[in-house]
Amino acid sequence: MKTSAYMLDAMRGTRPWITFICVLGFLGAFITILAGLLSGGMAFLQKGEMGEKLAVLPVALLFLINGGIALYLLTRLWAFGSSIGQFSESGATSALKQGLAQHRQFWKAWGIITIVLMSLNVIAVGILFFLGMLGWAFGGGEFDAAAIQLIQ
Amino acid sequence: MARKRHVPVKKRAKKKASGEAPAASTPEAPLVAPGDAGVKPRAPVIAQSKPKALLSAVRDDMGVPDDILVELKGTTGWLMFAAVLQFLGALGCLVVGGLLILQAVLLQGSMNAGEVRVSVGSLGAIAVAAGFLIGMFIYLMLGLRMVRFCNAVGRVRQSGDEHDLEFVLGYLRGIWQILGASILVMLVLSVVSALIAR
Repeated sequence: MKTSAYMLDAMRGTRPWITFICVLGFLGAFITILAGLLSGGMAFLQKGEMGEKLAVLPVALLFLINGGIALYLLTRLWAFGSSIGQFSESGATSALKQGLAQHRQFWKAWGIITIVLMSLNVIAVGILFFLGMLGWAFGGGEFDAAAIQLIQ
Repeated sequence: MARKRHVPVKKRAKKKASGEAPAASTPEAPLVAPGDAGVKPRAPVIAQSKPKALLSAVRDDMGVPDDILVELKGTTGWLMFAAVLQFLGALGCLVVGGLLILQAVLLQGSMNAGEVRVSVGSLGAIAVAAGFLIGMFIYLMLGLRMVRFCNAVGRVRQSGDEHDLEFVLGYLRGIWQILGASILVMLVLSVVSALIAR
């Protein structure tokens, strides 16, 4: 396959945006991970009951998971950007193929993560709705009473 | 780039299976053995060389390689899914923006009939609604670009033509341009709103 000037231009025009998104994304991901580590660490360093300390753990874990997911996606995007750079320099079809493979892997990972997160959201909303209905049915509109009844 | 003869992928695969040589207009790699320096005519050289390797070289030179088409095909499903989510996001932004404008109108209507000035509440609602409408515009642009990318991939898979691949790469650049620009716009808007809030 012949590599045309337009193909090279298109890929050269793509790379700065990928780099921009990656730099901002890495910054955000690191801040999120740092926030998770700090919130978890601070909770355990401060004086207080163990139950209160453990209550912070899910939030810290959520921050860490979010940061980890973002980091994973961004490394894929960075790899796509690197392949684009190679293609722009060499114009080789193999580099273009590698770049498009990285691009496909990025969107696949993004799609799977999005589907999983959307499903988890739907499940969480469903559980909350179910508990709310239980509260309305058995607890006279009180959510706490329903939860207590469930535990008992 | 000069347009080459369209050779659909399926036809090329059939030709490969049957051993039939596809017609090449101007192959990129010279079909001359090393040392001949291009003196001998082409036909005898082809006959003397390994036919499979030469056929493969000619085939690769003709259009978009199959492995690139496979990668593009694998991307379209996920990008179409992303496009559907963008359209849903645009619809959500439109609904919320519309409701906010309605709220602004109602707030303005609740003022005294003689008052001409715009209330602070309605101004705030209009500002937030404008943000949502900008979001809707970005979502819509992104979704449309993704759909166009998928359509272009469909065309290049059918034709196997390099010219169609140019369109695909052009739309690919457009997707990332819009994504980057939207992040930039959101950053600027958030800084401006933080400054106004102070």
